[in-house]
Order: sequence, then structure tokens, then C-alpha cells
Amino acid sequence: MKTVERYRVEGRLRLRFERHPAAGQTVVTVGEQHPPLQVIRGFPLDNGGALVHLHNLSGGVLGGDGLRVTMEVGPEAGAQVTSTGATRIYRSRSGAPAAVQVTEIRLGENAWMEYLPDPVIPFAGSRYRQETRIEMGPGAGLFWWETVAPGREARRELFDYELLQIESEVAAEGQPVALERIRLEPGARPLSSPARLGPYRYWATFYICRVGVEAARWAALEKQLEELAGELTRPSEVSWGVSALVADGLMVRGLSVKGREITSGLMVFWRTAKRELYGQEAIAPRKVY
Amino acid sequence: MSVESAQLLRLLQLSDSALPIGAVAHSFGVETLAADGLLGVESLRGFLEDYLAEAGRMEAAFCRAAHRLAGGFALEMWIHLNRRLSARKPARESRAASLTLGRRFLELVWGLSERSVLAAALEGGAGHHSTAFGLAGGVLGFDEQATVLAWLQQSLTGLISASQRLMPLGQSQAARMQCDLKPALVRAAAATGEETPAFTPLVELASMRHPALGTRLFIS
Repeated sequence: MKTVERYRVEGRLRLRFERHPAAGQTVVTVGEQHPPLQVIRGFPLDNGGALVHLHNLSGGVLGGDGLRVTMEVGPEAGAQVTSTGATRIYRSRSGAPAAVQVTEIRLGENAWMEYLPDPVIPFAGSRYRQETRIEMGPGAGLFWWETVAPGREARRELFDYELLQIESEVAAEGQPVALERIRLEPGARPLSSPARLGPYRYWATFYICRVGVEAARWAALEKQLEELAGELTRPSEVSWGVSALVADGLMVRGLSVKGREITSGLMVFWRTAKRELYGQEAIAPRKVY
Repeated sequence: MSVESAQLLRLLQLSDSALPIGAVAHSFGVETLAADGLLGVESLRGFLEDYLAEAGRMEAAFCRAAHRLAGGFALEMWIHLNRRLSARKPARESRAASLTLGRRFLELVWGLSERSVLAAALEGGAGHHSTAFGLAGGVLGFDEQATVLAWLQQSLTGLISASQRLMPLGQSQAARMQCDLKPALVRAAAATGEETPAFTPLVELASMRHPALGTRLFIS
């Protein structure tokens, strides 16, 4: 993966989540924050974790932005991280480098994170590269979803962006369990091909991981979620699939013509998986607007 | 028979889709796409061209990387390469199919050639079909580019053959398609590096949903 080099705006945000030994509650420390990235405060959750909203004061990612978010969750601590709205990727100026956002997450022993951002909406003419690396320690857990929209549908923008590059890595105890290397240039390679999105416009990826959980349990959860996927699938409108990763997790994949069916479907999978893996109810993050 | 002729014949044998490793039993998600009505004879050529431009390029890049391992073979590099390719394949069924074919391919070539590197690779654990093909190509002294092209050619042949059993695709049409897609094979073969991108979410999803199909001709 490349790193953030020289960009017009260089936003930085570094957060650390640590479990307070006496109170048993996760405490958030802001190590660094540089506009347009900002966190106001952490909200305590009933399960001992902390909820944080990632703000982008620009209202979206502008052409030429270079943004870096680093989050570290210490041993036994828990973090629920969301955005304050969709990540809007604005049109890039001619000749400007692609906007870049790099997110690095490290989960310590038995730490957990629910990383639940709103959809990415690449506007017409935008060029954007997103790199996400997540490293999980022993016993660590992860619920991470990501949804990508075709553009501003209300303005009839469908796949009018120039470049969307997504590079994702999820590793457990140093070994990769999921790697994605996506480079989309819809003008050159249409996404409506049945080899790519076919009739669908939105796609979502949901990683459900917990390091050390044995393969048989993943197989059982895969089967359970497969049944849900079957119930939620309506061919040519929305389609869901579930698969065990190489180790320590599952991937849920969703494709849809409409965005709202992705959001509601992800919630169904999250609720079931959290109950099975943690014996807890999934509580959607409170939003601040 | 000249050395070059013998080498050509060996490569043709290993890239024959009839090689007894079980490739004929896999559709890698195509069966689900056909069952869902998302893929038919009319859309097949375009599908295969785009598939080669995405998954074909990625597999070609890993095949090439494996070929380059053959010279100074290091087991940890082989394991690393295959782990990364496994992580690039989120659909369990297609991933397992690729690993099964890779193991059988290596076993077969080891049985035919008894090259120690292939035995070491087999003992070291899982190898995918594309990486196994690349490594064997390097070990047996096949040209790197020829090896990658041969891998892609047999992969395309397998997909077309599966399609013939899933939709009303005639033999002449299939042969024409295979012929017309040669430039796409050459383009895909140019890919290098493990970071080669690929975007095939509908195919992956089809593979994920394959076990739930009511009637199945294929294992994947």
C-alpha cells in the first residue's frame, strides 16, 4: 500500500481507547487531531465500550486531501466508531492528486471494535483512494462494514466518478485473513458487467471477526447467516451472501439497487452475529448531526 | 525430438483442461449466475472478457510470482504468497476449489517429474491452482510468459466448458469465443505483483450463494 504523501490538506486523527481498570469502562484519549478531522468526545456504552463519532469539518473529502486516522484499542477495551454522515467524495480539480484517506486500526488482546461508517458517496469527477488496515491481536473482535454508493443518485449521478481505489487489509495475529484491492474507473471499465456489479448499484462488505474462535463455530454461524441472506435476497433488487474467511471470521457481501436495503440488511446480520459471538445485543450508534 | 518441442508438449499437457485434477467439476460461481438469470449465452463473452480483466489479471500476477519463486525456492515465500492469495478470495467455496486443484496439480506434476521443490511445496501446505501452475512452470523450466498464458488459457477453457453445461452454448460458438478472447488473455497475462487489483463482487456473491442452490451440477 502507498502512504499519504504531499497533499493540499493533511488531516490527522489519532485515538487511543483504553480500559480503565477500576471503572471497567473504556476511556478515549485523543493523541492528535488536525483539521478537518475531529472527535468531540467519547460516549460511554453500557457494555463498557466507548462510542466515538468521526467528524470531517469539510463536510466531505475534497480533491487533493490527504487524511490519516489511527485508532488503537488497548487490551480488553471496546470501541464503537461511526461517522456523522455519508463520506462525500467531491469532484477533483484537474491535475490534482487523488484524495486519500488512510485508516489504521490496531486491536489489542481481547479488545473489540465496531467500525460502522456511513456509506461512501463518490461524486461525479472524483478521484479517491482509501486504505484501511486493521490488525487484530489474540481474542480481538471486529465488526466492520463499508457501503459504497454509485454517486449522488438524486442528481442522476451513477458511476460518474473517475477513480475509486479501495485497499483493505484485515489481519489476525500478523496473518492476513482478508485483502481487497479494488480499482474502479467506470468510464473505462463499466461496472454493470455481470463480472462486476451486474444490475446492482450499491455494494457492501461486512467483516465479522473474533480471533481464536474455532472453525466449527464459524461454520455454524456461516450457515445461520446464510439462511438470513436467503431470506433477505430478492434477485435483481438485493442480494446477500456469507462466507467464512481463511480464519477467525466471516464476510457478508451485499449488492443492491437501492441503498436503504443495504443499511437494514447489515443491521440484521450484525444483530445475529453479535448475539452469537458475544452474547450481547447490537446497539446502533447514536448519531449526532 | 528437440528440447524445445518436448517442453512445448509438456506445457500443453499440463494446461489441458482434461488434466485429471478435477477442474471440470468447478464453475467458480458461474452456475449461480446462470441460475439467477444474470448470465446467458448473449452476455457470456462480455462476462468472460471482464472476468479476465479482473480475476484473470489477479491470478495471472500470482501465477507469475510463483514462477519466480522456483529459482531459489524458499518455503516461507511460497506459504506467504498463497496466504495472501487466500485472503484475496473471500468466497469459501471458490477458495477451497482453488486450493484443492492446486494440491492435486502439484501432486500430479510431482508424480510425473519428482522435482524436490514440488515435494517441498506440497509438504509446506496449501497452494492455489494458479500458484501451483506457476511454480511447476518455473521448476520445469517453462518460459514465464508462456506459463502465465497457459494458465489463463486453461482457466478460460474451464469456464467456457462449464458454461456449455449450464446454457445453450454450442461447440462452434464456444470455440469462436475462446478464439476471440485471445487478446483479453494476453492483456491479463501482463499483470504483475501481488497488489494487482480485482473487482468481482457479483461473482464472489454467486460463489457464496452456490451451496444454497436447489440443484447443482458443480462443486463450486
